[in-house]
This record gives sequence, C-alpha cells and structure tokens, in this order.
Amino acid sequence: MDQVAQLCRRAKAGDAVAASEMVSLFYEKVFSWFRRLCGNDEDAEDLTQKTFLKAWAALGSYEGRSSFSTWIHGIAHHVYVDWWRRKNLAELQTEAWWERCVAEGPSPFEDAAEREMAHQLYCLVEQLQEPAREAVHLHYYQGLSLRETAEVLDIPTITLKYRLREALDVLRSQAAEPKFRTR
Amino acid sequence: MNDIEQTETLLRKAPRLKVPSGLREKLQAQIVLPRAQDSSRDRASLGLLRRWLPALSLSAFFLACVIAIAVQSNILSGLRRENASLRASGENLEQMRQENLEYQKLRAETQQLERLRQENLELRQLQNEVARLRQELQALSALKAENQRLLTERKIAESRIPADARPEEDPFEAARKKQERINCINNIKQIGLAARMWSNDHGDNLPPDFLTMSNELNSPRVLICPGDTRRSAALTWSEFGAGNVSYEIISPGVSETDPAVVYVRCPIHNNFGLVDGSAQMVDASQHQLVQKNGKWVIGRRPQNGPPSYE
Repeated sequence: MDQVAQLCRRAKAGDAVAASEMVSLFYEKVFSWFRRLCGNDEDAEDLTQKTFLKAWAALGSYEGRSSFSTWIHGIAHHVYVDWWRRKNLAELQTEAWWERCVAEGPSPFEDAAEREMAHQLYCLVEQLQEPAREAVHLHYYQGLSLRETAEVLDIPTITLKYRLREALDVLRSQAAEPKFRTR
Repeated sequence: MNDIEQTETLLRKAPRLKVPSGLREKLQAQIVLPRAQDSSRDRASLGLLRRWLPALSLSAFFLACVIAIAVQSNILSGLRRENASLRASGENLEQMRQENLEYQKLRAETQQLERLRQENLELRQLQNEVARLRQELQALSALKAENQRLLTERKIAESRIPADARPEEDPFEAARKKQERINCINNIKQIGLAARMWSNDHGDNLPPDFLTMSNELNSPRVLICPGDTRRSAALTWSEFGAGNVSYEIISPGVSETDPAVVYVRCPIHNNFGLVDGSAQMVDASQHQLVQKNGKWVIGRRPQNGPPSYE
C-alpha cells in the first residue's frame, strides 16, 4: 500500500494530520490546473477550496478503485464545469500563465529557442476548443495518464485518444504557420 | 515543432506555477472529516445490504412468482368447477326443455281454465240479472194493469165531478207550454226578418219558400216549432227537407205593399208572421185566418154575427 493510500485510509478514519498531508501533496496540482483554466488567482483559489471541501465531504465514498489524484481531479473537473456554466464564459481568455505566474526555480527548457517554442505552443493550447483544451491540460500539464484522464472526464479512453490526437494535429498545423515561426 | 513527439515533450515540460502563499494553511484549516464511526457503520450496513441484495431480490422474485402461480391456480380451479357445473347442466338441458314445454302447456291450460271460470261467473251473473229483470217485468205488467185501472177509475170519478169543480191544470205544464209558444214567436220573428231582408234584393217580394231564403236564415233549426215533437230540425241546409219544417208559408211571393197580410203561420200555436215582419200571438178562440180581397189576414172569429177584421 503506497503512501497516498495509507494517508487516505487514515483520513477516512478521521485523522486530520493525514488529511493535511494529503492537502500538501495535491493542492499545488489542483490550484495550477484551475489557474491555467480560469486565468486568475482568485477564481483558482476559490475553486481549489471548493474542490477540497467536496473531497472531504465525499471521502467516505472513496473506495480506492482509482488513484486519489484521479479522484480529486474528477471532483475538480465537476467544480470547474459548474463554475464555467455559472459564469457562462464562452469566450474565456486566460492570461499568459507561462509568463506571469511561473514558479521560481530552474527552467525546464534547455535554451531560449525551446522556451520560445514552448510559449508559442502554450498560447496555441489556450486557443483550443474546450473539451480538447481540458484534455490537454489534464494529460500533459497535470501529468495524468490516459486512463486517469479519461476517468476524470468520464469518457472512454479511445475518445480521449482521439481528442488528443486531433488537438495535437491542430497545434502542429498552427505552429507551422509563418506568424509563429517568425516570432 | 512539426514533430508530434516534440510537441508532446514541450507540453509535458510545462513549468510549475506559483501558488499563493497561505493557500495550504487555508485548505488545511478547512478540513472537515466525516466521523469514522458513522462511516464505518454506514459502510457496514451498506456492505451487508450489498451482500444480501442479490439473494433478497431473488427471494422476492420467487415469492412473487409463487404468489402469482397460486392466484392463477385458484382462478383455474374456479374455472374448472364452473366448467364442470355448466357441463352437468348442459346434460340436463333436454330434460329441462321437456319440463319447460310441459310447464308451458300446463300454464296455458290453467289460463284457459281461469278464463272459463271467469266466463262462467259472468254467465251466472247475467242469469241472475235476467231473472231479476223478469221479476221486474212481471212487476211492471202488474203496475201497468194497476195504472190502467186507476186511470179508468179516475176518468169515472172525473165524469161524475162537475166541470167547475175539476182541479186546475198543472202549473208547470202551463209554464212549459207558454215558454214553447214564446219560443215559437221568436222563430217566426226571425223568419219574418229573413224574408224582408231577402225581399230587399228581390223587388220587395217575399220569398216563395224557406229554402230560397237560406242565405238570410242563420240556421234551419228555427224552422221547427218547440211544440212540434213529431219533426226534427235539420242541422245544415244541405240536410234540409220537407220534413224539417213546422211552419207553413201562407202567402208565398207576396209583395211588401200590404203589411197586414199574413206571411207565415204556426199550425200548433196559431202564431202568425205578417208581411211587415211582426209576429202575432193570437187567441185561437177569438181570432182566425180569413181571406180578404184574395189575401190572407187575421180576422175575428164570429160569435153571433159576421166576423170583423183588424
């Protein structure tokens, strides 16, 4: 039994320390996801709190059939969908998160050219349509596996694969256009 | 960036984002865990339910099937019993039909007997009535003989009584006769009026007969005198004949120039209708119809000398 499963079992038994440790393990991921999707810190923070409150309330029904990460991303997905419907943000434009709120530390990119290409790519991702954009966020940015991503989005894996392939094709074709190459 | 693998690699290299300070503490402070006892109890009850749910549902299904089979068996046995009773009654149908025929026959005979009994009863009643009438007839014959004897005795007695001592005539009969005479006068007045109306259109000559002035007379009933019991009045002029008139026209077709001439007369009451339309009620013992210059007028009946005329 891995560490998360043990913490989860303890939290279900009412251990608040284990629950705090679980918060420490997952809150960054959840916040980052909301931050990228929502475009501002306030909404992301608010949605993160809602997600964890729902998670604690529903912790009794968590049986460990999927990983805790998948489970809490599923909750976060529903929280995000509710928020998105309530706000009715059809033309949601997120900020350039990769320029404004990147954590301090060593850059993941090898050189300036790669960083420039990555920024262009992230910009194109934000222009994707909503189901594909969320799938890209979950699979690539959040690091969930295909099975976990499909579980969070409540769709078959084959559908997820199709969406991702389509999104990658769009990204590749748009990145090949001159305006992106000359930037 | 044209390569998909490179794209995926770059996407996976997305940098971590800054997390607002204090968020972790906030989230940790908001932890509200469900009570372990409740959850374990719920889980236990849920687990028990889940464990026994298939067996319970299967049992419920079998129980429902058994109940349905029992109900259907009950209905089936009821139908069988009904079928058997119907079959048994069908075997007795011919016998019942015969019995019904006999019953109908007996019923008809009973009804006929009842009718005959009624007729017999009526016959007896009629016989009793005939006997009673015969007795009454015999009594009537005796009464008639008695009446005849009494009349004879009365006549004999009256013949012995002097004329002055005879009792007066019945006052009701006298009033009835007076009424008849007055009605007769009224009839003669109507006839005279009709004759004068007719003469206005026919050169001042009165009509020769009653049928001629049928348009002026309201009804042929006025041509029958109330004292005339032998004749009957015609209801309409189409039924009118010689037997439907009591009066007689004395001067048919006479001119209006002489008003004292008698035009019509009642032979029963000796009432006269004159040419001027008036009606005269005269005493037959003192007046009579006389001819003067070929015209009929009312004259005084002669007593001791020659008659005088009015």
